[in-house]
Amino acid sequence: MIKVKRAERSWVIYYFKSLNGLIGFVILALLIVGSLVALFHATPYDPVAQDIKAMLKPPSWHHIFGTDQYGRDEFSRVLDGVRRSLAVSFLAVSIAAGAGLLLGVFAGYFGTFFDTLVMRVSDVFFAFPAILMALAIVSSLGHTWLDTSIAIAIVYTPIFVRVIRGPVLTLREMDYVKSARVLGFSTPRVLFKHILPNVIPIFLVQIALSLSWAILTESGLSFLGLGTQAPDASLGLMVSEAQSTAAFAWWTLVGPALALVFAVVSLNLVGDGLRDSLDPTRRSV
Amino acid sequence: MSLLRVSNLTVETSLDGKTLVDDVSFTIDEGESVGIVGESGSGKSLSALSILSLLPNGVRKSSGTIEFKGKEIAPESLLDIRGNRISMVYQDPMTSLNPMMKIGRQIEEVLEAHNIEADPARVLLALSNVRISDPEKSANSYPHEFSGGMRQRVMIAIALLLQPDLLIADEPTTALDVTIQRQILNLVKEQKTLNNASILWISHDLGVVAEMVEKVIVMYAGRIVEVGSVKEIFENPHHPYTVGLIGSLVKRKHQQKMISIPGTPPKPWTVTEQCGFAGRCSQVLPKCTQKKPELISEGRQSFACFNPIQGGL
Repeated sequence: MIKVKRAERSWVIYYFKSLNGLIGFVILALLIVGSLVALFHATPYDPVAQDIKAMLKPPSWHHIFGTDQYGRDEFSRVLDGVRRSLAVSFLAVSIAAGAGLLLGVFAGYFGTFFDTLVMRVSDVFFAFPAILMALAIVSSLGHTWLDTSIAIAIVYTPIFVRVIRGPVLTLREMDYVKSARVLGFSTPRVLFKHILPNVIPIFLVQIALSLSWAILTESGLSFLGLGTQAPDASLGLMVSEAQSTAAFAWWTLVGPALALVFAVVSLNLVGDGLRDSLDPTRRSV
Repeated sequence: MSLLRVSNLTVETSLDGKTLVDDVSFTIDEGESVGIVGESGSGKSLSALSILSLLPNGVRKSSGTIEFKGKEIAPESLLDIRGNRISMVYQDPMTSLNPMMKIGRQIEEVLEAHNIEADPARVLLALSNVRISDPEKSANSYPHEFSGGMRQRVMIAIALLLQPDLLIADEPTTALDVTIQRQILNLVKEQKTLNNASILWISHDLGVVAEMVEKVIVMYAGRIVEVGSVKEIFENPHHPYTVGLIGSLVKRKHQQKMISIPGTPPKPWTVTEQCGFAGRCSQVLPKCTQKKPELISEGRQSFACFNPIQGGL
């Protein structure tokens, strides 16, 4: 590379210059720390341990989010629920994003029969509402977190394929891509140097959006009783259980609901921040 | 010996064989600048693209030969010729550069494509050659930080990087402001004398062509209708279409009106057996619609017309 006079600023600096990105990052970091605490069983109470003497206690220094109808500590359960939600959505979106990127780029770039095949199959998936599709898959696969992840991944893969294929179709016809091909560059080089970098911003935004949708879908499935099973904690399941107690014990609903909101909002903010910092044309000086 | 000789080039749609470029022949000598003028759809771009086998999908060269330095361009030798011996500048500088790659890196890529070691000094020299201020900073910029004119300069820098023998310019100033257009024209002229390159300049702007080239080829409906030096074409045009083109130029004398040619150009494949201009011609003869006029030479000038205009403008 050429020696630079002006200091080379990495995208990380641009990312933290945006307020949205910063806020999103802080909230997401807190949620991830919380999930790690739950992962290493370091929560103040065991998320599934019942305490009949402390049923439906409002928030206090002992139970900062209060307790539920079985006397379980809401705060510990929320941490454990966030851990499950994040794990399921990260795994699901990794699978969907990987498969979607691969299929989308190949379908868009090479076109012809493969393109038709991939797009018609995604059309079939699009014909079903996402949550219904996930329900059907989960009920045939099973109820473990791995099954839920796979179900969500299957539902979201066609969205990634579509989101990626569109720009690739346009990029393929750009003069600089044609020029690179005409100059005799290998197909992998054209794909990795000229096509992929130009879809990365869209791809990242889609990942962030899908993560938040996946959290909602996972909660939705648990809410309907098809995701995480009691007594394990999950945000959706907790909201579902709080239905019967929220009228007189508001804290049973507020804890998991707020956690859901923060998870979804932070992922959206991180997505915006990433898009603005990774795409050089969007950077402000 | 001429540098490039295009003989009897015919281009048609591959699906149904509709003629788009009909029996086009021309030569470019070493160091010579040649312009092709014509309206949209007259086949000027297709003729130029055929030289480097860059015809878009769905269109193919059905006959004709293209010789470069006396040898027909073979498919195997294309990689050695493209961007190296013959290079091209396109119309739209906005889509010619990768928005996610720094300018300097994109220039280096051309060197890599021709197995030449990437040399930063060479990249910087190429940029300063096309009058880009602060080449070091520019090499580290992304295309979106550049204006259209600056991007087109970068494209010219890339095209001239390997000192090609022939530069094909496909309407490179169409997307630019008139003032920027002037700068780009001067730049190309200057670089041409520096590298002693030949130029094939494609344009629908007669004014630009008159400025840039020595020989003008006028194309209409896929065929060459008139060839001559700039002086001959402007002072003594023979084909009614050339006369019409010159008549429709903006004049400096304000009394003179701009005259447009009535009608629209026909699809090239509908007029393969007659004169393509017959439907819009003011002095059409009965035989114009029965037979295809061949290109006939009169001195160094040649034209394809049964009833040419004599006596000049």
